[in-house]
Amino acid sequence: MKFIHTADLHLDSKMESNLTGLQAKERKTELLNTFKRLAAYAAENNITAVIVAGDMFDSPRVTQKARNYVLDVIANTPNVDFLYLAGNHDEGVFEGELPTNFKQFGNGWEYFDYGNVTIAGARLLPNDYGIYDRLKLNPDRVNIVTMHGQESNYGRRDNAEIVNLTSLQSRFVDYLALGHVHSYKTGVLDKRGIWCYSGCLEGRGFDECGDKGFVIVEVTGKTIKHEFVPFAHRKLYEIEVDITGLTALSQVEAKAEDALRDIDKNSLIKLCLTGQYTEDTNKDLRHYISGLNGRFYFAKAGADRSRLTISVEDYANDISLKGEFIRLVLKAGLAPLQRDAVICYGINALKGEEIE
Amino acid sequence: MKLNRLYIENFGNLSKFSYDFESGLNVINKPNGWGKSTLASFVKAMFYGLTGTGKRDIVNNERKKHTPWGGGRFGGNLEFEHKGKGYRIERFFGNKEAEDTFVMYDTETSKKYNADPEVIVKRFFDLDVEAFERSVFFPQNEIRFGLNDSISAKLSNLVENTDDINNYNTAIDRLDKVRQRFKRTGGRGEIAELESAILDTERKITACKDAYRGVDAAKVMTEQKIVRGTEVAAELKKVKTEISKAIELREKNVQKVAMVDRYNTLKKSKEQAQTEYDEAIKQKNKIKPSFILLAIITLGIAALVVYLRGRKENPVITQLKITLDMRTRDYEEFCRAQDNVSGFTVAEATALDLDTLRQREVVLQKEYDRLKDETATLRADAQAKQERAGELTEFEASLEALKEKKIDAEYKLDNVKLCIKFLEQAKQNINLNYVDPMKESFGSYAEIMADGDLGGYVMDSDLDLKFERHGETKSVDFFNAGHRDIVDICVRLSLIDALYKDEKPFIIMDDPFVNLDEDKISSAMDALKRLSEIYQIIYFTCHKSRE
Repeated sequence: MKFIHTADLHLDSKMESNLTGLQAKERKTELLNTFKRLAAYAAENNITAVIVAGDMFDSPRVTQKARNYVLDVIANTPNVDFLYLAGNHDEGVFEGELPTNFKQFGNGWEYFDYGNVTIAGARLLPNDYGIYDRLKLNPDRVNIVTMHGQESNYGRRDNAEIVNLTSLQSRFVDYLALGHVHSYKTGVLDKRGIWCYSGCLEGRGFDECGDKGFVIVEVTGKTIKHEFVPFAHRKLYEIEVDITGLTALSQVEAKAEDALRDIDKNSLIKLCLTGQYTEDTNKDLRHYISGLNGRFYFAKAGADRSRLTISVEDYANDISLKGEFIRLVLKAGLAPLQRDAVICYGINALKGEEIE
Repeated sequence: MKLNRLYIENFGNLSKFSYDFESGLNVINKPNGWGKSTLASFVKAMFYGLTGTGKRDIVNNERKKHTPWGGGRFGGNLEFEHKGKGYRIERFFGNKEAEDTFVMYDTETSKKYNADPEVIVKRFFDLDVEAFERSVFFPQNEIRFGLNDSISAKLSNLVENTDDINNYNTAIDRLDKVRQRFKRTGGRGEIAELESAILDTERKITACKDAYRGVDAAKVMTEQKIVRGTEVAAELKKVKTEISKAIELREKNVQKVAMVDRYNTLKKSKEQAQTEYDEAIKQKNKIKPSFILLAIITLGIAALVVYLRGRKENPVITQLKITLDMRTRDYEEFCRAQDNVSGFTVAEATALDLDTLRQREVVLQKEYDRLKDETATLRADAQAKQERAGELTEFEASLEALKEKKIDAEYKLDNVKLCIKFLEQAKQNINLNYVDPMKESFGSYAEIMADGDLGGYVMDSDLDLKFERHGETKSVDFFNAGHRDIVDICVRLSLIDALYKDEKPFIIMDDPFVNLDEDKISSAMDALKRLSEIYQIIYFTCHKSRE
């Protein structure tokens, strides 16, 4: 029997803030479509049920369009059950008439059985410390438990969003399907089971780079296996370009090209400069990045982490305005990146070159 | 610093040449082409190596320029004193810098200094090669006054090591332009624009949130209306039921009325028949008492006959009896057919109720329809609001992007302001440390060199040097080449004063007075002699008159 574990879809939510309005709308549509593809995948691959471990939406106030889209997709996949656990953002979205294969977990433990597998889920409420004790599982069955929150072994009492792993140990849990962390992550729960975050289905901003997708949980008899399946329509990448030793802009651009060589054209790119540069280095990549936007779906400049190599000794005896200026700035005790920026401004201004 | 002796193995056209220096004035009078410039370059090369190695043209590529004409080891050694200690530098050059060798000894202890030549020379002599060239080394053809040059430019150039006139001012201007791009007076500039865009977006977000609240309110109202609508519908249904019941009842009543009429008619007929019959009998029997009386009076026969006659059926009465029987029969049949005779009371109120009910029905229906319309409107309105509110995420993304841009702009503005501050400070420091002292010493040197001939100079804080002559202020360009040479020397000397505060360096002068008039030369030479009391001067010339 096969199940899909997914979470944190955040459909209809905010995208990377520098996308154009059109692109942001397009990305939203793509995210909805990825959910549709997930349902199609489930139908084609004999998936018994899809577990959505929370945060399908960003807020309970979701547009009718999005809500109906989701329900339509579910209704059109009648042979797959969709088990939905509301997260910390999206409780109360699904009310009223719902498709029969759409099932929700409530505030207490609810159990759904499929063959020899039981899927249990409950929302974490504040001050409900006893929730773990109320979980009743049959040790002879294969038990999947789904919750939404931050895994921790300490279980801070003041935060409703902590999933206390220790409290879930020795309760016959085979697979703990978690939501809340947006990247695929897995670990050992106890001798019998493991915990797993499926991560989000598709990245929305550059804090969600790399492969995103869902987890297939396969139960054969009493054994349970899981596998991450990358499924995003588009990926986001944060690309570092080390400009150490380079001076001409063409060299810097070539290095960037090199770093981008294997990246899919349909991706979103953030370029970050690292390494060391000198006062002769031209690293103004603004024009280059504009050009990138024509070749990739989206590109932007990230934080410039490169550092100016300049030492007091170099300028200790330079009797000139430039020398004096640099000495003053070096002595001023500014934050490193600011110091570099100020020096570059000054040098370029004196050289008659374009500032910033 | 004082040069003691040098030995050229091979350098340019000089070969196996040695020279011992004296303190004070050293005059080297050799014809042109002998190699005076080469000698000067050798001294520089001993300290700083050969420059321009990458360059193609010979003029700028010293390595190519000074490679020995006759071959042989390219280099030599130089002995000098610095701060009371004696040193010797031995330096030889190859085809490229990697092949160069450098050794420096302490001449007393023969201790070798092992380090990068650049490091050593910088450490000892505190200035790099550019400063050296700009001050100590007075080359013949370089940086002579062109027709359009100004002293201020030269002074600035010497100090600022730049090629542009007013470079400082240009730099500050450009920085200021950048600063203004971010922030201008009157609430303008990129940052102000971003701030207003942020406010605008925040307003839009608030509007969306209000729209959401509107949606919630609309939902509540819709619920209420639906509840009321259900009530109204129920009541309407009840009224409709009542109406149909009333109609049914009326129907029944109509029938009943007919039946009552019939009953009454039948009853009346029967009663009438009964009355007529009874009346008839009564009439007939009226006769009887008088006859009985007669019978008593007469005798019984007559009475009996009459009595018998009386008993004979009267046809009228018979007819009446038949009618009565018939009507009685009808009446009783009718009564039998109807179960409930007593139910024959007409509810008169029915007619009244029906009208009231009908009115009520109309009212309720109107209210129901109204509620239905209002609910539909509310729903549509809520939907529209919801859609607009859905733009919330777009606005939130915009807001985030705008805030990022603003922070970036503020950071850049901060940097530009700092840059301007430090540049201004640097300029001030340069002025204080160099320019102002230079102005002072320029005056002294002008006195020494020109013997009062250069009197009346005026230098402002921008290093603009002008001379007052015959009551007029004129720029230096107005002076002849000879005068300008003197000024050049004074400038360099004052720069040396500013640059070398502790240990005075030696000065190499390559025929500095070549443009002077003969009569001026003697006073210039006197000045030179006075100068040589302060500095060790290595003075090249090719003419006896300038010796």
